[in-house]
Amino acid sequence: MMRFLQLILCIGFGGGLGALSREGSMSLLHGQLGMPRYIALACVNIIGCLLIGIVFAFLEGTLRRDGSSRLRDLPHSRQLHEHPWWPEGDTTLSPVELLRMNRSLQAASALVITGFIGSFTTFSSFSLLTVQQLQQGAALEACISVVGSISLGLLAAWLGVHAGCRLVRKP
Amino acid sequence: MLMVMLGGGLGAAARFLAQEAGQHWTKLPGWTAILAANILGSLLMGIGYGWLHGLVVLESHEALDAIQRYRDSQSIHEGMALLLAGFCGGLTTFSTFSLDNLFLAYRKRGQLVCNILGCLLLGIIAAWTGLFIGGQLA
Repeated sequence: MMRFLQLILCIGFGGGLGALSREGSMSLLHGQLGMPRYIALACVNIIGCLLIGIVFAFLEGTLRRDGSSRLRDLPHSRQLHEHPWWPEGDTTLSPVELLRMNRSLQAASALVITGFIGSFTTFSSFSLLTVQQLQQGAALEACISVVGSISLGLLAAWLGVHAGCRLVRKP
Repeated sequence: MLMVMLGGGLGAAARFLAQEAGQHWTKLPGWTAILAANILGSLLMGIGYGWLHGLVVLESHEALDAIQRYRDSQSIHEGMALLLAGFCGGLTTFSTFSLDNLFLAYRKRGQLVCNILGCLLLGIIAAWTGLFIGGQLA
């Protein structure tokens, strides 16, 4: 129970910082640089996808189920083709669950992945913006926003996972 | 600034609790918790925004301008706007959604399609419903 409360505190703190950075980035991109709001939001979301890929691969990629490293003894070319370090079972559980065999990594993932990056990116403003674009008849902009965000977000996560694997690779 | 942080922290904690609850009490895969959080957050954002929007007559109709306007004002609604932006933004997430999509793309293509279409369509419907409800409230 204490452990759970500590994790919640980590997530709350990270989430607060993430929300603050999101507002800061939005006011920089939208307010200072004058980008349209949907493009500024897409930029923030895509940066977050890149970051989550890097951090997740960096934390999860280093571990076997017993807590020892898996990536270090494999050549990089094989790592991603065979996904030897891919989490077993359900890969979409929260990183806090996937990393429960190592407490410090679990706390780090709670703070950074679930808290900071999870709160830095947002879906609610994205769907609200899309609804308003549709209501105003700006279907083209809505399409660009939706297709661009989702495909570039997926690409960014993939790139991030590759970059994260490189970070843990033994030279 | 404090209100945004408070909202973001509460939202992120609520998202984590949804993930935990989904894992312990149901047998659904992990991404469904994020899907639910995204849809709920979109609904709340729609309601809150629609409500704030209904309280003020705006010259421009650009999305989120009501929140922006209250954010810069000194009225009692400023805190509401900030809390809304923080909480809904913290509750919903795009990064975890994309990471889930990446993993589903490797292993479970059917669930990938469900996740993307579900999040998009239900999120948009939820935001639209929320805007309508919020407009009625104001």
